[in-house]
Amino acid sequence: MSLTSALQIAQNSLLNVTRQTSVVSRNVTDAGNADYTRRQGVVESSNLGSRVVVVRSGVDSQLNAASLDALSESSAQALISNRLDQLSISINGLDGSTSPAQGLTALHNSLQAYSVDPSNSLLAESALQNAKDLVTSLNSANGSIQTFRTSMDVELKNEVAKLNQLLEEFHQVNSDVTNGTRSGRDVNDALDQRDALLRQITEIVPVNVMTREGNDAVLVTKGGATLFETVPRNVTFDPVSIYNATTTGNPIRIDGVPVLGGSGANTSAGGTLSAMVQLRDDSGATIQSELDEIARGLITTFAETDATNSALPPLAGLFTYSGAPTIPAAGVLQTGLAADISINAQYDPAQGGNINLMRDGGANGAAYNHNPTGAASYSDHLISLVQSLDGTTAFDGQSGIGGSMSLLSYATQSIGWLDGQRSEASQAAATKEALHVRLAEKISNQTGVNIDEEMALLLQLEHSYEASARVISTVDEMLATLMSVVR
Amino acid sequence: MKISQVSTQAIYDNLRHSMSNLQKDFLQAQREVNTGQVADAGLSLGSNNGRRFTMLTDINRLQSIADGNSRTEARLDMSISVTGSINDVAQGLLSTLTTSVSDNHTTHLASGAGQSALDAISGLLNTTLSGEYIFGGINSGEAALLDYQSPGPKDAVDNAFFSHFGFAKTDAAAVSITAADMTDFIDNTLSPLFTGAGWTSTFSNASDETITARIGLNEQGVGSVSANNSGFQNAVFAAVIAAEFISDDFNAGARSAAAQSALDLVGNSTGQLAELQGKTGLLINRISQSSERLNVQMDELTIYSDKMVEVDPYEAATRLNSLITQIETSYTLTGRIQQLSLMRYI
Amino acid sequence: MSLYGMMRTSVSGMQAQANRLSAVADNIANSDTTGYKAYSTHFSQLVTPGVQSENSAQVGSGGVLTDLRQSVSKQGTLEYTTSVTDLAINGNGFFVVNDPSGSPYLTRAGSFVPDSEGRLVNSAGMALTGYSLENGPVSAVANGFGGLEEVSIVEFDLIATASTQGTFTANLPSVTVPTTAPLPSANLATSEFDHKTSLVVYDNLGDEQLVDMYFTNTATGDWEVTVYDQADASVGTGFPYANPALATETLNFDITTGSLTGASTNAVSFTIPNGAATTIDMAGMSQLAADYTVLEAEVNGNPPSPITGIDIGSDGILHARYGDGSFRALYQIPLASVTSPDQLTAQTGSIFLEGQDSGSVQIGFPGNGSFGNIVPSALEQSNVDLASELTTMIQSQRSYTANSKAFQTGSDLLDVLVNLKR
Repeated sequence: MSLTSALQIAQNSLLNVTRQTSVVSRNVTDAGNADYTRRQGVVESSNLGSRVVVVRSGVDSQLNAASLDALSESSAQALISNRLDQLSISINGLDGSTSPAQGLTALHNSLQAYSVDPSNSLLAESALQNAKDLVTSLNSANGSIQTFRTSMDVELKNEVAKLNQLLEEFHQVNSDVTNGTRSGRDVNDALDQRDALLRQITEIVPVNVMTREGNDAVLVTKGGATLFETVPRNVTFDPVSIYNATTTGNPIRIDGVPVLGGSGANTSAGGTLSAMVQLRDDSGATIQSELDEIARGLITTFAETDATNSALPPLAGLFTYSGAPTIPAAGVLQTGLAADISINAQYDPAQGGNINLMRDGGANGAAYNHNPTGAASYSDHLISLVQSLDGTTAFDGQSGIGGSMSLLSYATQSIGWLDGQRSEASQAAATKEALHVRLAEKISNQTGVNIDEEMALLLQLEHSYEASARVISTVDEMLATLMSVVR
Repeated sequence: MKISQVSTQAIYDNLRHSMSNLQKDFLQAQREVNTGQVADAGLSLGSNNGRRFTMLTDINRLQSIADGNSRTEARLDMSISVTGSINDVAQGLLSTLTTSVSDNHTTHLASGAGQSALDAISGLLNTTLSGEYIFGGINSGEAALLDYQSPGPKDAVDNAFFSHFGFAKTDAAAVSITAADMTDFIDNTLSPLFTGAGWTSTFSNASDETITARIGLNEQGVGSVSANNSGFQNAVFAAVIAAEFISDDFNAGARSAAAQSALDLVGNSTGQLAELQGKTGLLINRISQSSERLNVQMDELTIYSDKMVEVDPYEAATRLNSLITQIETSYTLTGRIQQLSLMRYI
Repeated sequence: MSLYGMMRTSVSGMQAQANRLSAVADNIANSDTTGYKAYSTHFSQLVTPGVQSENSAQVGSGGVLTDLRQSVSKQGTLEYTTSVTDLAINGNGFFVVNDPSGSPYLTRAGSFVPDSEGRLVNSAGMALTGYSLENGPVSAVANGFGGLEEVSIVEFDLIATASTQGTFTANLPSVTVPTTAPLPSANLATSEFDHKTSLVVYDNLGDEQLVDMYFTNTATGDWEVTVYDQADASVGTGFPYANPALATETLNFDITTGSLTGASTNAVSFTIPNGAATTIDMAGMSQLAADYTVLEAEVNGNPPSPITGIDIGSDGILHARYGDGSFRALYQIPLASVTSPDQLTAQTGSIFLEGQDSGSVQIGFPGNGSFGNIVPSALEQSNVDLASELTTMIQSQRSYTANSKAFQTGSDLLDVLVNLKR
């Protein structure tokens, strides 16, 4: 050891302290950046000098994977909860105020009033108006669902475009990481960026991350489709521009493998893509089929019956559809009926019909007229209509609710079904978000910056800078002393 | 090396997160305190909300039935009072007829009383309640009783007389009609006009069928009285006899026989009308009992459905208070934590 | 003993100190020269035989012999830099460099930078040499510079390597129900598969090609693996492909252990369109009660791309770094050593020549045997210590003064002698 080497070592130390200080200052700058991972300036020393190597705080890979899973589940659940709320409001209104059940009750009530006072044409008008409102509410609920499905497709399209964009960026950043890692460059910024991108991708589709030689990441979706391996895979989707009840949505394909929608209100889906597919194909279709069943129930309940005891089949009455006059097959879901249902023009004075048909029947001929004399206060037919609303009908189990029950209770249970889904989804969303937040916090604690700690480190660095400077000035003094000896 | 680090980001995130959660809860608790009901029934009840909805729609429906019942009750009430009035008219006729039977000089009076009773009865039977002829049975669109004067049922009565005796009532031969002839005519030729098909084709537009009313969810009741009741028929019969056949066109014997027949009929009629009143009263009673049941049911359902979404006001208020405390604490904590920085000490 | 002799002796002493001072001056001048090795001056006595009789002893005035030594083997401090082509040696050994005329020398001055021809030259203009690894690994020629060539990284651009082998390891779920639909190998629009993974492979031109690998459960424990060229796929579902499958194999799993049976195929071979025959090793595949999980997916090969940089490891292997992040070993940089490094002959430019006494040059690889390691991004500072040089200088000054005093005394005495005759 010599004075010169002492000087060189002190110089080296100054250099190291400066680098460490810059690391600290970087940490402080990015303390508020959620995507930033804390760096640490680690001094690697040998007997010949030392150098600073910047090390990125590592994260427990198990924790990281769990956090990514939680993120994708939380984003899917939040989406489902949110969209179900929207759907519930657009179909049932606030607290069921515009629901088919409400319309059905209103129809029941006005028919009841009419049956008590059948000669009162105002009451007849009111009953007809309620029937029209009910049809409008079914039609518009059906429209809402299809609009909802269409909007899901638009969202899906945007999400797929976003995913492709993210994958392209991921490709860039991943190349930076692999190139940098192989050549020993500082890739920490690229790694931060890649992690941030990965989180964004995970919100859309859940992935398993596999790391290959050179820190090269391979992304495989939970469903097993390759998302990124050296180059991004294509995510393709053809949106359907207009949905009707019988339209089937197109699948989203990641590398040719379709993305499956989740199931259940506490969804099994991860990522927004899967959640949207579920909403579009599962939830949307179930609500649709419930509306269709209500429509079918209406047509069947209000069908005109034979008044002559000659075993004529019941035919469509007040409520009709494109397949009239025969009524839809009993107990079988007929998709699209909610959009198809309409008020029979023969009943509607506005369309040249006779409103008394409501009281008497007979739109399908004299054999279906229960009041051939046209008595003004004939109420039996009306009463039987009102009571048939309470009668049991078989409903198709393909909808959310199946079995035999009255049309009214089916309609109210349909609200209950949706609210049940909402409630379950909202609770699950809270749970999943809590898990995600907790894990994110845990990771942030592992990778994030604590400004106080950085400040303490800065103090330490300040001291070591001071000490090194002191060494230099001492050596300088010593050499000066020596120099002064040389005259 | 530290054992567990806490990142600055996590500290602030945590604060922000808990703050936003607290505020969301706060809003909800506030709404619950104000309304006494859960903030979002659908979310808190889940699929049970369907049950609540069934109850709410049931309440709604029961209410509509109850409303209808009061309408029916009004109709029946009116029917009772009108029947009463008709009974009064019949009683009046009865007293007049009683005098005419014993005193031959009052024939003139009996004929006038018969005519006015006929007018009164037809006016009463054609009572309307908001445009509905309440005695029309289901055929409430037309007046229950036709106007008696020609070209009304009077023609049928005259025709019956002519067909029985072979001459008109005003013919001089009428004086020769004996009491027995008169009784025979009244009992056998005239009487079919006042019962069954004869009545409905001659005098009445009313339908035998009375209005059925749905008075409970699965309960039906009779909601009206038809003018085709024998009480009304007999009263009208008596009035017609009094008006037409207790006249000077006939000899005293025949007049007396006619008066006697009318007297019998009126007597029957008052009894039958009283019975009808009683029956109608029973109908009303049945309906009001049903309404009462409906009300009890509605009350029960209201209690249950309200209970499902009810929030204990004390509990909600306490929760609100504790939330306020929590939020205040959180604010204080945020302030404190923000001061807790090494920066302030170096 | 004579006065003259004594005066000559002191002159020789002064000359010796002058030598020493010039060495000190050299050391101080080069105290910041990379790879410079300090000189030290060593003296030895020169004896002139004196006259030795019975009663008198006469001292034969002698002199000082100066021996200049360079402490070549003494390690200098390493100073870290940011240039990847700055090299230092930690331990024994020298870089072999060529001067502009092509003659080999040894040096420890490793501040290399690429010149216009892609050669790595240091600040003295010496080009680094190494063994080319173009034809695979080499062994050093132990006792000569044979086989060494100047390191040049210009002509290694645009090298594409076609894929030839790969590894694919995944778990196939054991709970799958065998499909009844047409298999992917049937290449029908109705073909159905259980799982799919695509891999990037490189053809002869280094173009990236995607191959689709379908895994379909055909019977308990049997999985059909079908490989297609993704370029042939139909839009959307993939099936049918324009060309038949590249390869179809059946993996047979032992349903009790979940691993491949001994008799089962454990690799899929196919020829990449316009590329080489490639074998994907699937020996690690398993069939356990878990989801389809890809555990390893690697295929060799790389696309053509320009060199974006070079990288030298501590083992002396110079890698070229390509645009896609892949690497290729281009040179092995050897180290040379001699038996007695301190006896090497220094030449201008911090270089050494083997000398008579140094022993002959031996070539070896960094880290092997007695050879040191190459430290990239570092430079070896000179091993001069200013303080000791300064003290040496003072010492020399004093010795010189003392010698001059001796000379002056001799001269004075001669003066006395000459004045005797007056």
